[in-house]
Amino acid sequence: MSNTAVAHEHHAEHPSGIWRWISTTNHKDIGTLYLFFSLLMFFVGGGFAMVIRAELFEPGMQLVDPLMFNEMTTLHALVMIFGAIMPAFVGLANWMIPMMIGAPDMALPRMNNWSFWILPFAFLLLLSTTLMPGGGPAGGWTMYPPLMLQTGMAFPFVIFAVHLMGISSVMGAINVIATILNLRSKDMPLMKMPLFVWTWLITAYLLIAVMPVLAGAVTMMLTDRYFGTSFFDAAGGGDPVLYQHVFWFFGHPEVYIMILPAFGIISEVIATFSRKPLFGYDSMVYAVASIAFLSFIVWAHHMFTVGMPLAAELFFMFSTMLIAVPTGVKVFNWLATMWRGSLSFETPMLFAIAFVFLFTIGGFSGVMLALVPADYQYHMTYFVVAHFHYVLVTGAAFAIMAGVYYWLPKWTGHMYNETLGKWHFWLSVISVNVLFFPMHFLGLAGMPRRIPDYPVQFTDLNMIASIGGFVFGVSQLLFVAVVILCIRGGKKAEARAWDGAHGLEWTLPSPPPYHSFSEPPPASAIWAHPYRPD
Amino acid sequence: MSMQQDDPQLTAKRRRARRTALIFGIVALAFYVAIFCLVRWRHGFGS
Repeated sequence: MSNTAVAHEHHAEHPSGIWRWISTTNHKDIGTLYLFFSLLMFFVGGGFAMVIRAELFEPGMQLVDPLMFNEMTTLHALVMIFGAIMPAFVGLANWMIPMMIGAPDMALPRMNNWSFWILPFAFLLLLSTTLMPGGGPAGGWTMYPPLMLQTGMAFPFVIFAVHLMGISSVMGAINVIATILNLRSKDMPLMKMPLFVWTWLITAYLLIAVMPVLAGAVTMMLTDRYFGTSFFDAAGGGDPVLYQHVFWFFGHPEVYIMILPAFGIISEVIATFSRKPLFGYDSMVYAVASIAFLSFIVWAHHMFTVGMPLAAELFFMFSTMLIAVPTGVKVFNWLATMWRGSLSFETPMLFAIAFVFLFTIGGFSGVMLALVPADYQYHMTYFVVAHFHYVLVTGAAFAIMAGVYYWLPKWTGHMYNETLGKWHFWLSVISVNVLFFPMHFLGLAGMPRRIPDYPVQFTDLNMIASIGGFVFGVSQLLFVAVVILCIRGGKKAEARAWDGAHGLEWTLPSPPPYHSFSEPPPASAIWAHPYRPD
Repeated sequence: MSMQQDDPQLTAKRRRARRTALIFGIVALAFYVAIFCLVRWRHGFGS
């Protein structure tokens, strides 16, 4: 046996049992950990959503008291954003980026392990606050002072949990940047990278720029409460509205952090199942970069009603509307990729097409909200709730599901059950619209968000939304079933599981070896495309 | 980790990656400090 073969066997060894998962520095293991953690959090956050929808099923107080209801809305958002959506994208990045760029692993594998293992403690800390005197955080995920300062004993624990989540995200982002910039195959120029890698590179820059801002804002709130400062305390000369500016300077790019990797996944999936190269690759990259840039100069559209100079309102209105341009470029390119393609409608493609339609609905209601005079009516109503759930559920979450179905055969070596997958898709896409579409009308009719009780005229639409919510929640169990069944067995997946798929990850066997690309991939593998004669 | 790790070219790549990570880590910390300075400049610690 040659020395290299011995070395290879040595490196392929890894501890078994629980210690494998605790001590792992392998990008595939860590990707799996992230994905299972996010699935768990998806159900925890979903459970909170079920409580909210059950309480709102009819007027009056049924299940929970108002404090508990506010805890549910706050924790639902925090868990879904920081526990489900973001870790899911980091999991997909861990699994796919090294394989897509021909790297043997992430650039900083030990830091990768840290990034993940911080998260369970952060969320244990956050969720444990519900058992503390005074209850958990109930001031909304935006944590505005002075309301947030009324939180009981839970306050410092929530702040610490947010810090931990931020540290985890920043370390993950640094790892992604270091990996893409340094470990990429020498034959892969930046403008040849898969769109998923591009979107993640830009997302990582956003994370590094804005996560410290959130950490700074909540630290200042902490010192306001415990160390006598008055950053946001009007009585001491501080300014609570300044917190809102600082928070949304983080918060708006955060929205794009949750949607840009989704754009990357959708670009991969649509090209594969259209059996064509992606239309307008360069413009896709520039559109993502433009959206990322614009995300830094639109933050105050979240606070039009707080009181701002007219010039500021106009600036933020126009800059926000400008985002529709690069977003429109992306939607156009996805449609153009499908145009005259040899389409097939496997589950990932179904989720991707639903994404294009439903995310665009969320985008349109976003343009409506960007209009200052209209926002004076929509602000703080269920119209806003409808808007961001179309963006984050039928946008980000659907893209994650598309990505999981798309790459499951690669990860597990088995094809998933297509029938169950399609059942999951159709139940989800119908119920999610029954859940969120009526919220537009509730909002336009004046129903405020974050209330546990409501006037009787809102009953019918709330009942419909709740039924949609329950069906959507239950249908996600099908997703779990598909994933478990696929891990346990099924039809053997080929290396190129989808005939239209292209990219380095599909040159590896399914499942890929524990250490892939131990040898750098040949240039021909990077440039080859099954449906584009070079 | 992997066979490619023994490759001197990869070792150099990893060294550059650590430097990249350090730079971005410092940038993140700088943003954290900057936001305090910004708020302090805008409104101060108190009257």
